[in-house]
Amino acid sequence: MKKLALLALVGSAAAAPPNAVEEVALKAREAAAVVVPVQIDWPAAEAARAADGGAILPESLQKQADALRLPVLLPASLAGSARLVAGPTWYAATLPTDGAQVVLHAFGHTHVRPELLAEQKAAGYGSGEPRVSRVHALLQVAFERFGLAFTLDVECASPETDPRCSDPAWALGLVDDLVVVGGRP
Amino acid sequence: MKRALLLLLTLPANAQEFRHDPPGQLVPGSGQGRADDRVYVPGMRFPIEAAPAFANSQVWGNGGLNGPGGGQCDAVNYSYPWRDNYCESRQWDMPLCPAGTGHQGQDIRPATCENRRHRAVAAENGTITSIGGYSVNLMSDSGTLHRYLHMDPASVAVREGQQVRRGDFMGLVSNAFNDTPTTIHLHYDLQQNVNGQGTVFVPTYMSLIRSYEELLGRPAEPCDVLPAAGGVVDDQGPCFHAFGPPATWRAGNGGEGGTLRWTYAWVSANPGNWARWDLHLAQAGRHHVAVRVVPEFASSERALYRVRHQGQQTDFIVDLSQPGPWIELGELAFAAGGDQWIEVYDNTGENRDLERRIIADAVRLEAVVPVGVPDMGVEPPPPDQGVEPRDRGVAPRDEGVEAPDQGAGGGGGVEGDAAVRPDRGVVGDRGVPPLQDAGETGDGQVFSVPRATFDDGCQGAPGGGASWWWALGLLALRRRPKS
Repeated sequence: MKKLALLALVGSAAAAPPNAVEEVALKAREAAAVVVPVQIDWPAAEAARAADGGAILPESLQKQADALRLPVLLPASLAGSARLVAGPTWYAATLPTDGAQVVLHAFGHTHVRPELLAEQKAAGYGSGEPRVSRVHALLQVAFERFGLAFTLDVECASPETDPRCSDPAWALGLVDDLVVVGGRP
Repeated sequence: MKRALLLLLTLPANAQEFRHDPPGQLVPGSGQGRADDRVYVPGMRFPIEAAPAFANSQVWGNGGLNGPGGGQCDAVNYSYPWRDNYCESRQWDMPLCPAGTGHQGQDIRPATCENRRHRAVAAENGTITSIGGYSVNLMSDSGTLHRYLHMDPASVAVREGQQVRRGDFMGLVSNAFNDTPTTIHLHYDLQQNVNGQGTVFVPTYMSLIRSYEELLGRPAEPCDVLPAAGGVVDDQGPCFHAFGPPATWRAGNGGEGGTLRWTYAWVSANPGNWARWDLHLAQAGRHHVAVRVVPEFASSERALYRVRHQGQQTDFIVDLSQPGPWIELGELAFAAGGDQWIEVYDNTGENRDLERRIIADAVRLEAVVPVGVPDMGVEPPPPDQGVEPRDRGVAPRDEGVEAPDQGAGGGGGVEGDAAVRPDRGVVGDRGVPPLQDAGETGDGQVFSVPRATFDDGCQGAPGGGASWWWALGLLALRRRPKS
């Protein structure tokens, strides 16, 4: 019993205080990343809006989109049904459709994490190519436009049988269908 | 020696029992994890309201398709240690996973294998951006997108566009998966736009561990209500919370109650360690606000204190080296009730090598007009506008210190705070310090008992071929009889 107690005590003995270098590393691992607004390419967004012609939206939705300080993109085929929620540096659009719900998130802010940059580059971030992921049958396409980062999620009423939640083709088609419908610098 | 053993055995149950495997250590054969001990969302609240909760794999655990057999309600699934399942084998892209594919977040079982009983809560202040059949998204004021899957849709207590506070009820953990039930768990993941390069599902595990440790350490008693005359809030009481790495909070003797905590100042845009004293006032009134210092543990010349009071925040840069034992920050108006606090941060801009110390001991509120003494009809000053700091060495926040964080701001068109911190603190958020056990709180000694121990365990096998097996697993799980 004495031996057991001794082992327990040794196990819980005071760890050596971190030295200055260790301390800074420990704190850095738990400090929040700096968050900054992204650089928005407004000329490109406005040129795209002029070229695409936008989409016809209900008046209240159009007003809401025009008031945002971000380029507002929506899939043209579903734009009319969109519901917008927005903050100063982001917006989210919920687009219900038959048997599925599409959610588009736009990030106009970014977390500065230099330690991850090399991994992102190696994984093809910044190449303009969309990235497809899926969890619990929620299919997501992540991509970037005009300096903003976007995610487009598809959730299906029948997640295990609806091909829209297993084959990314439909979601990628929605990304191709995106048009600029509002926003201002 | 027997006495020492007895002491160990009488540690609080939660403190003694909670164990977790290290980040990146997955169930053997379930893929290759990411050994990343960074806390990506510091100060977040654990997303399930009450402990215990159990982070582990659904697919490779008991009752899972790739598990060792049994059922989802087996006791082993509801026991420690926690196990990371970020990067567990999946088919789809996950750039931060060693295999390039993997699971995007963490699966968490609530306290018991009961459907629609356990409450999920908001991890941070923010805005609900969307609600689906089994998904709820929360964009936090700090710019992180929190995703909750499998809450019972009938129980979801938030609505699209709603602003929520950290700790607000979101819905009940369930097996909801639209038309095909899954196991009873919360899938929880975090997305951030990183380096302006695009969104990333960042590792969740360490953020969950820190927030769970805070949840476990939370005492049962509520935070004390300060009477009209004011009072002292000490670091030993339930109103105090210390955040950041436990190893860099140190204990000292002296100050209020005989013990205190301190850490070194450093240079950073955001704090690594910070402390908060929650203030819950019996009635509204103006108070002199002061902080306790002990010279040996208080040497920063520019410590940042932030006071949340009556719905607003006021910052003070404080020279802690001035004579104490109390340094007055100023005179501020407080509302009756909670959602008011004082925080101090370690990112003063003073280099760590200077060994400047930030103390976290006690704060004091003293009513400007003592209770029971008529104020002779003197008009009180306007709320906090132009109140001069009372002591030399205390100045309202200047431009020379980095803001703790520049958040993404809240939703609803409200302009973002230029200096948003990762944690705002809310009524009902009764955290306690992330320190586990004061033990021998010798002068300058580091707290000795870690909050969690790592199991000796097996390293996850290198990335198995991702497949549709997990989906088939879920299909199989739904066919299992409910326990």
